[in-house]
Amino acid sequence: MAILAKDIRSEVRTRAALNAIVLFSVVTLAVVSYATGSFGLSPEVHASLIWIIVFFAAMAGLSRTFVVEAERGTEVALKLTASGTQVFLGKFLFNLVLLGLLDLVLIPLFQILLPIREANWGLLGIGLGLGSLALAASTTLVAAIVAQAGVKGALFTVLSFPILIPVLVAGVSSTRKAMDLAPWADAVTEIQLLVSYAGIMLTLSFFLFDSVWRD
Amino acid sequence: MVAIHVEKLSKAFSNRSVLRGVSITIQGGERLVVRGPNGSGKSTFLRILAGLLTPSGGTVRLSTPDGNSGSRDWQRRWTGYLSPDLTLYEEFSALENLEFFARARGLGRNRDRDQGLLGTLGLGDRLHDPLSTLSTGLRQRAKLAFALQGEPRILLLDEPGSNLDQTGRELIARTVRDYADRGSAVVIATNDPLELELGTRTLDLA
Repeated sequence: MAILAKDIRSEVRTRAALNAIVLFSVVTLAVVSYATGSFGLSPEVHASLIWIIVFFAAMAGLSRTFVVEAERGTEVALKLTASGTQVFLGKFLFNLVLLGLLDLVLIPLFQILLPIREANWGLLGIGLGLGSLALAASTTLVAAIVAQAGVKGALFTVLSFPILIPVLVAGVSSTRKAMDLAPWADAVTEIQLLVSYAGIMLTLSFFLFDSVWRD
Repeated sequence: MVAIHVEKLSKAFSNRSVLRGVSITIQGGERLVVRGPNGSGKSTFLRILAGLLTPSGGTVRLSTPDGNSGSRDWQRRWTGYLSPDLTLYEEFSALENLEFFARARGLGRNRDRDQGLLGTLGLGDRLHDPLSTLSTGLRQRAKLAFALQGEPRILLLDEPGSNLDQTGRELIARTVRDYADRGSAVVIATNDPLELELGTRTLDLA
């Protein structure tokens, strides 16, 4: 929890990740809203747009958690004082907080710029929440790998995309069903997939993180 | 008493060999000075001792005061490390940095202890200023505070006097002697003539 608290305090002061995430969301939604004008979007397009924004906003912001430590040289002090498990948990929870904030900002923004007329809001929220959990679980490990690379650039997105395809597919599907007012039972497969994916990625990350973080 | 046993230590980066078969035992209370020309592996040697680098060959074994082998957790708790490649969080004050690292090390929060340490290192009146607003010399003192946090049994100092004024250098000399007298193993990587005099033993790296 010390690392989570430190990262939140640091983010409040520097806004390195939050600015990137929120600005990306606002700009994308504003552009799409301007382009589509008064045309109502179908649930398929709405769902895809939500997950495109979540994915690219995550790519813009989440890699910063480790890249910033590497670029500023603070990872040496972190390696000297904290175990790999502590670091992984702290960074994972911080990424989860960032994505949670993104979700909280995103839906009201949609309602202002590209209104969702009706939806199974509970299912929409659960789908987004579980998708964010799965995103945070997998991208935390990828961010640690990317931070060790000499050329970081788009490496985070390139490495993350193939890993995140199942999350994006399940996320889009559950969001579309929520907007089609489908009952909960229809989205069980997607929810199971997101929960299993997050569980597997968290377990894998626990085992692999130390070897990525050290040396 | 703590001890560091180094046996046939070697390290290579790509095809370039930096350390070749270094063997030495450093006992608690000793002040070992590591010297050698640029690129001879002084900093690499310290980084391996600190657990930041994995050696290409050989071993580093720690003996704790109770006679056990030092685990990774023990090393994190009881090793102090200062080097030019160490950076603290610039957006935080020296006190906030120490508080965070104390929690990460499992030392718990103790503001009096951290303020006292910073006070003895001449940062008493800049406790709450972000590090980004401090001079390079004062930042070096904050880094020294990081290294001394928790009264380490193993103190690894890489060019500790860099960026420090005369008072700061005297502070380093006093600290090194004080920690060795209390039974800590102190290793200093340097080519500075004044810091070379601090050693009770010398390791030459070619």
